[in-house]
Amino acid sequence: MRLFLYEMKKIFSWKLILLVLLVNLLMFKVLLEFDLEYFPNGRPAGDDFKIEQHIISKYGATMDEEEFLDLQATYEEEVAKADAFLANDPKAIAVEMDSYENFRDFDYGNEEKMAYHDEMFFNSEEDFPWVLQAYEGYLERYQHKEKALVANMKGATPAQKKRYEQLLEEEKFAVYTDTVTSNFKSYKTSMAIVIFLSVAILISPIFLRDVNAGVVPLQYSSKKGRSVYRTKWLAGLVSSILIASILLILYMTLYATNDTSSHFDLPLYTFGWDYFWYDITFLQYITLSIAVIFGMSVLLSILTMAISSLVPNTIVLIAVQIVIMFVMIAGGATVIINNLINIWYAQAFVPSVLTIFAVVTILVAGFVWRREGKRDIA
Amino acid sequence: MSRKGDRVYITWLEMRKVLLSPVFLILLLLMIGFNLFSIWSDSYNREELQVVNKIIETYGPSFNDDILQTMERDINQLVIELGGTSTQAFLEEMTYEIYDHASSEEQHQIDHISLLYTYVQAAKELEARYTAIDIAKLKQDFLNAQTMPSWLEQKMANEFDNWHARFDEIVETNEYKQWFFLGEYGMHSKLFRSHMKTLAFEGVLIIALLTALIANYEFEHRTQLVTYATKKGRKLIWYKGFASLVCSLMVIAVLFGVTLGTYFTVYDYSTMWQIDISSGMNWEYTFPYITWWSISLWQYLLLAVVILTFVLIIVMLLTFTISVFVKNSYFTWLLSVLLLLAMYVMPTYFPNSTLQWMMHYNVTLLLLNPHQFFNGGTSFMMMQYHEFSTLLLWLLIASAGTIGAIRHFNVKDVV
Repeated sequence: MRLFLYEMKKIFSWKLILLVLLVNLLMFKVLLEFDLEYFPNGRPAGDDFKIEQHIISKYGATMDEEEFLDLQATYEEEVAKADAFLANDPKAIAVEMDSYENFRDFDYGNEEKMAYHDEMFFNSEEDFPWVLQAYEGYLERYQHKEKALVANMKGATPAQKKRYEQLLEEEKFAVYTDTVTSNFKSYKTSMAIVIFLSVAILISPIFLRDVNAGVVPLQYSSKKGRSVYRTKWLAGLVSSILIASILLILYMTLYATNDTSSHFDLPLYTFGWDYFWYDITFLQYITLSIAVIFGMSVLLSILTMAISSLVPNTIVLIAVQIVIMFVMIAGGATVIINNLINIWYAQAFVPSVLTIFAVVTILVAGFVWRREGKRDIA
Repeated sequence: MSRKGDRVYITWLEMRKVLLSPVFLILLLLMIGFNLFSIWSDSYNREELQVVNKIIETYGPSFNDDILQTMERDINQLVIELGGTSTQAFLEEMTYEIYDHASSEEQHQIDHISLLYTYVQAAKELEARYTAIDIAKLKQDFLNAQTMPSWLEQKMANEFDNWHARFDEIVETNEYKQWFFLGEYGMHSKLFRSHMKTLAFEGVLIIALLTALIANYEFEHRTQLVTYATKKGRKLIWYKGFASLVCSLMVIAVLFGVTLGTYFTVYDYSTMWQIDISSGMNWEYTFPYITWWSISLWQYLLLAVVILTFVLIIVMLLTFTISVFVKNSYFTWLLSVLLLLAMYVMPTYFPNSTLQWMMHYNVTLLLLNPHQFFNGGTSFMMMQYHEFSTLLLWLLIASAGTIGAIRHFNVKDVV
């Protein structure tokens, strides 16, 4: 146990902690900050988000005819407000846009009308152009709820088609926008990249450190002998679990500031645009994503430890890690984490890749364990 | 052995550490493999792009109203050969069924006509589109968007005035009326943004690594007490520096040479070397590339490679400096890569415009934006001579750092 703690101390040396901190500070600015600072990102995403926060509590995951009429009533109230504004705005009257209907369905060729229309959208304090457009989105989505699914079936693989048909049959339609889910998708991908980098930087030197210091022959010929390797390995595993947990908690706490809890209980199919293989809720989806990032980080640390004991020197270690990190970022984060249960990839794709990753890692680690037990140390 | 031979021999011994270790060869091959794959995998439109070469061969590198008229007549001739009357009507009536029933030779001809027509249309619309660019408004927007101290505001206003003059010159001399791949293909971005940037990244990773290897070698292999105590002794650090430099240049030559060589075999630029980057056809996003000088494609390519080479040498010198103080290649490599990342991130931490302006003199921006070299535009980075000032500044900093590090090395404990 004492040895274990000593090894932990070596892994969490102040220099490495500072380095990991620096990496996180810089990468936070490059990757993560955007999805926190700019959520919801401008218009109409901001309007969608505001409306959704309001109507989700009223309508829930599905929308029936009655709820639709209620939404339409709300919309018409807002239209009445817009009508009142436009009817009293001399500029609107001048270009014959004195009601919302005239404002919305105008002649695009008319430059004066176009100018007023743009002015209202982009340079005015009035919210109604965006808000009403957002409402219309929800109304249209309900009216054409089957169409979206049917349109997706074109060019779909048989398995995807079956899934769309299932959604159609069970009347699981998209009600809301993907403002919240697409933000989370982007955020979790960035989070995975930062955590993978942190784990790799922290764990990489674990075995090479002692080789470079020339103390391995001493350790292996001591009373404790080669089981020192196992102690170090365990310390590495615990450290990676620690760092991955700390960073996940930190970044998910920051994510909480996006205030998306209103959407937590909605099943994924209500968000539209993206479709998924399973009908889990958004909160379950978040949990699944965190679990996969965590699992991949632990696997990465096991792989890293194997590499650390196989490579002859730091240069080879870095070179191998450049390649591994490329695969982990370009493949692991941006493909696997980003598209966990997304319908664009075959249902078995992500689980198979993860299984292969796990099996390869465990095989390599097992090989290195056995090798460590009997290799020459001189 | 002569003294000169001695020097060469020792430098060679230092270089051997890189050149004969398989890890660098493998890493280099993987990077080149990745580059070649990404070049090949999106080269589906290479045949289509050939049409520019044909246009330039027949009608010359630049165009004017007369040439466009001639071209329209020639295209119409082709249409008549295929039994049509007017080009526009011919192309509008070209449905999928008609196209499908034509012989493959005719199909080829139809494609050719439609491409030529697209280019001619774009060329005809160019003048109105190009002269509509309002630099005075860009200037006003920029000055309004930032709160700057008066000297900086004056300086930026001057920059914009100079740029405006240059823009007027381009319009006056018709420099923008040159053939280039249509902006829709994004060929400038493909070459200088995607591939050049990737090359620069790869260069940084591998050069920082080889410098860390050579510079830290004695400490990592615990030979420092022997090597630095010999007659040659601490002078060895000079050889290490020189060996790192030569190895870096070799890596750059191979990495850039093979990748760009492949790029230009895949895409045919044969008639385009003399075309200016400021060509209005080269209009990809909101603005075309309005360069500070008239720079032709071959000059731009050469200058871009030279600039990136200098940046990579700066990276090598900075890594070398760090390694003397850190003595551990793991930390050396990470710190020098993070230093570059920090240069990119730092400006965003400072909202103050003077600091912002100062921090735009940073080599990471050069690494990330080879497609914007020598371009005027609406940011601090687009100032005239920005590339030269940045390189000069950082060459000075990096050289001073290296010399300081070597001096430090000469007196410190080697244990």
